[in-house]
Amino acid sequence: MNLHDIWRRARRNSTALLGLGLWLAVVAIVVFGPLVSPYDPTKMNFLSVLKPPSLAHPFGTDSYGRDVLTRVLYGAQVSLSVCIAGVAAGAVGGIGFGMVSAYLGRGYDMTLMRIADLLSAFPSFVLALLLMFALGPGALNIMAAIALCYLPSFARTSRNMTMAVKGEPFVEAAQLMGQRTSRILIMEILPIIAAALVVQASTAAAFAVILESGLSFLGLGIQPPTPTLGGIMSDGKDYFQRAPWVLTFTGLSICIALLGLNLIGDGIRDLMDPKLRKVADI
Amino acid sequence: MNDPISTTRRSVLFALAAAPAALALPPFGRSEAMAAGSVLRAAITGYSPMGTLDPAKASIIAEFQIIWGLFETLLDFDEKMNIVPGLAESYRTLDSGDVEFKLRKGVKFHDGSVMTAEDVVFSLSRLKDPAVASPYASKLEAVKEIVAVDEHTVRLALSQPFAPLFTFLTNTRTGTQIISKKAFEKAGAEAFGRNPVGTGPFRLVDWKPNQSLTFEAHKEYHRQDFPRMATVRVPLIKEIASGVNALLGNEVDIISEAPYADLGRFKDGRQAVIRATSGLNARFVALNNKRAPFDDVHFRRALSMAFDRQTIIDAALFGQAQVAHGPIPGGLTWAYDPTIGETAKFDPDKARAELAKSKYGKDATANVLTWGSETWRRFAEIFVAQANDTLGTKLKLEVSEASTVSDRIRKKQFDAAVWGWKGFVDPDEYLDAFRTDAWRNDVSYANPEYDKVATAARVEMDQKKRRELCLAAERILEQDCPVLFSYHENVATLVRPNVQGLEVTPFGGFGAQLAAVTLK
Amino acid sequence: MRRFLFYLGGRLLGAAITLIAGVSVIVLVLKLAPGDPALTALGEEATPQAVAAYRAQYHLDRPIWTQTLYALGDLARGNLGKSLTVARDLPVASLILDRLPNTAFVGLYALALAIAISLVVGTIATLRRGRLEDTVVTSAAVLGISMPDFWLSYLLILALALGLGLFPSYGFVPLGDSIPQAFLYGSLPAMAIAAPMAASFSRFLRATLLETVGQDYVVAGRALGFSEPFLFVHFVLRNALIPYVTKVGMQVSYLLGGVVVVERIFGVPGVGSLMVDGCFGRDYPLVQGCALTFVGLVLATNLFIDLVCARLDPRRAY
Repeated sequence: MNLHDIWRRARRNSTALLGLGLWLAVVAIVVFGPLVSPYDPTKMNFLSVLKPPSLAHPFGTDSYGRDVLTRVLYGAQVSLSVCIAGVAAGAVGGIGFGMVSAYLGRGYDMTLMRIADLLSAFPSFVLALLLMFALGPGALNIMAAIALCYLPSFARTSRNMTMAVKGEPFVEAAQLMGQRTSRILIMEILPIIAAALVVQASTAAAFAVILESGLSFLGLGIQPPTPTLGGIMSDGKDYFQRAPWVLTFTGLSICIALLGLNLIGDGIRDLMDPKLRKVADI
Repeated sequence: MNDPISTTRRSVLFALAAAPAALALPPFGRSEAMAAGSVLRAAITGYSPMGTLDPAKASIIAEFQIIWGLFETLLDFDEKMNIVPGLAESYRTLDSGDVEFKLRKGVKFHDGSVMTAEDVVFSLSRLKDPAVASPYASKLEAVKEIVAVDEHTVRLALSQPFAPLFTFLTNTRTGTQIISKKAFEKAGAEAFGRNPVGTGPFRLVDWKPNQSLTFEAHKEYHRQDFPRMATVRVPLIKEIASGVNALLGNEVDIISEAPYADLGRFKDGRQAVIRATSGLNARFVALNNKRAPFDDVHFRRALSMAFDRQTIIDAALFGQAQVAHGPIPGGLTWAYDPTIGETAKFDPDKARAELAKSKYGKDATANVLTWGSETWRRFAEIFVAQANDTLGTKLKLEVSEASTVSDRIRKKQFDAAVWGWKGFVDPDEYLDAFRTDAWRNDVSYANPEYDKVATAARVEMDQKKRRELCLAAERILEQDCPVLFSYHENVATLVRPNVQGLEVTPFGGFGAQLAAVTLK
Repeated sequence: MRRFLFYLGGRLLGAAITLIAGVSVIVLVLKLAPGDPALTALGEEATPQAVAAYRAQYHLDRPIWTQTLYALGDLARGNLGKSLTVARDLPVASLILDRLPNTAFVGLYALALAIAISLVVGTIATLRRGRLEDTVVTSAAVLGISMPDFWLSYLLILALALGLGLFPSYGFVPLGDSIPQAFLYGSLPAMAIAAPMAASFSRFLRATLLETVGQDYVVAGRALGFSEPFLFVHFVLRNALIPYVTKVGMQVSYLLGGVVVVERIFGVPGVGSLMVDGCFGRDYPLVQGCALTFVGLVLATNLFIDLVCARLDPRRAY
């Protein structure tokens, strides 16, 4: 069953549809919201510092007098793109590793999987933390840390699934037809395993957002004045007793955004072939 | 599969079922040991690694916050920063210029032995011993010889007049705390740093590295009725916000550093009381005087007038600071100049006019280094935004992490950085960093005229004349703007409403202040 | 049994090599980055002479490659070295051993909470499949993994500690000092760590149970007249165990990541907060020791889970 079949069936799966709807709404708000907002996300206004939520400022204002909602919207743009880009990089690298490793087998497999094992032996937050200390804070470095954290799991999933399908008749047929290995991997095998990888990517992206916020909490996030979800929350915890709305509302926004992502993942997972799901270990 | 340990699905099932059962919620209520009231719980907040409590070797503020409670010095500061007797009950300057100290009698160390002139000579001589490599050797650099005249008299022979001498003998970040010679020799240098023996109101009974310390009252302390509390626990809390949570939840009575941002909430004093006073510190934007565009004095001056210090104080420190126009803070009353100089005033027009004189224009760019911790990050953020707003320059914020920042400043690998000093008690310590050949001159400032004035201020023994020299030195800095002095932060402590007797002083003194604290 | 020992030995050897190589690379990268332990230990006002003396004392003045080789040599002899800044001159091994029980306690407490919640949620969701109860608990589960842990910690403190006064807002009591106190103080940190895990366990258990419910042997059991509760426990739950235990094992790595931030917020003196302090202070031996501990815990859990699953699954052989 490939992605196309899943889409046909997904139209009848409420979880996936709910997730998709939620996620599309989140994306739309994040993309178009800033265009509508009358406030500047970085311009400081010291006359309205730490104002509680009101009609003018639904999420209140922060310690620089900036509208928190506007900052959350801009911050979501930054955080989500950084996290998705990081996961995408990890996914591309991991899938490449995994599929090649499974297809070539033996020595390659051993070596590449050892490297993946090494990376996955680190709890992801610990690995990200160490990398941020080594590389220093910044958007690119966060992306790199996220990519490295998720590379091993993508590698393992794609390897196991490729192993499972590479003996199937359609792969052998392609081999007999003299197709190049790269073509077989991309055109024949990848579509089969794509659904599992999409599930994994949606979960990974959700965790990446949480990772980014944890790093920001320790002061290792993306540089201000660029707003990020983690950065806004980290700023908010400094005056949590006095203005709890900054931390609370930003965290709630994250929950809603990630809820969409996770529901999509759940929906697709439910629709997958149980055998493949077992191989993918998701 | 006939192994001795036979794991079955059933047994695992039981185990899983038992896990939640084991959690059947614990009995609620606090045990007596942790109950508020019997023990004073005074937390040190912030990142504070501690290596040693040997006064001659310690160097971190947190180490001294403890040392101040365990040791004492010949002299002391009162709350108004006047020098008063400490372990020396009197002192006088002899005709030769030497200084003689009469020691208080009957002072006992924590181990029960009596403090004598021998201990004083030993403690102070250690600072000067090259083998000890004390960071405080320079505090006694003008002291030629330390002699015990008799059991209760000590004489310091000076090689030249040295104005800061008396301040350097107070219980601050000076290293001149008096230790027990006998205990030190018995324990050895390294072990003494973990088991310090002094004459202070408290003795150390437990030290869990990176977690907490415990004091007990020094039973034979020479001041009657002190310390008030029999036991003091000092937890080390890394997150300042966690410190507030701990205080509000009645897990601690005092936190050493109150978070400015939250202070507004405690104005009514019902949940917590703020104790604040102006502090001995200077915060500034360090400019690398060797790098463009900061090698041009006009550019530096333009920047200095391009940002509003009061705004930074209001927004980054929530009002808990005073505007700085020079290095010397208001807490050092006798050497402080309250008139704010021209270059420290926010004046967009003058700033732009000054920029026009500079060889660098609007398109000048530079990185302003800061790190992710609350106040410092805000300070830099607002400074960059305001300067760019006023001048149209393209300064950029570069956020790193504290250890990286201090290393880069030390190696002079920066354009500009927010930076500062804390806990200095003598004007000389503030002025020293701008001498051409001073190792602390991280910004590579060089002005022979300044060097002359600053050195004159160091050897002038008359306080009135010395004040004039300090002010003159500050005026040179005001003109040259080697760094952009921004504010002097308050010392703010947050306590629970039942804490009484805590006197917050400009120089800190955490450990020593706890001696007078009681819980209502 | 012999083949089993071989398998075990191979796994252990591989794990050890992986572990040491990985940690060495990290410490090397950390050393190459800017930041000087001397400035942390001696303060920013340390004189250049003092800094030089410190660097000489701890061999930081040698080339990084030499330092790394020395450190590896020490490791080979089982010596983790001494702390540079966080607790100067104290052996890293004893610092970690001191804190490991605390991390383990909070971690296991969290794990137990997560398992308990997921068993309840998973069972409800399966038995009431497609009904309101299923939707409610499943949505709650998804929400659980969508929450940043440090945000959750702050909300828990605000609501349960400062608001209702049920739990202490900060601090920790070791299990050895007082068992009820340890549970009391450990509750909020454990909840903050458990929430996302409970959610992910529940979702997984639900999916696995639903799959098992439809299996032929369950249908056969029902046809034989076993009662539904009996069927659920003995046919369904028991067969869903292997994948569930595997899942729990895999999440231990996530749990250890969560421990880092949560320990800091609640002041739990554990390995996670120790490592963060070590990183901030450029305490290389300490960071190395803590990283080794974390990686070691992950590898040990993986191995343990592997063995448990092998025992649970009679079909598997070595």
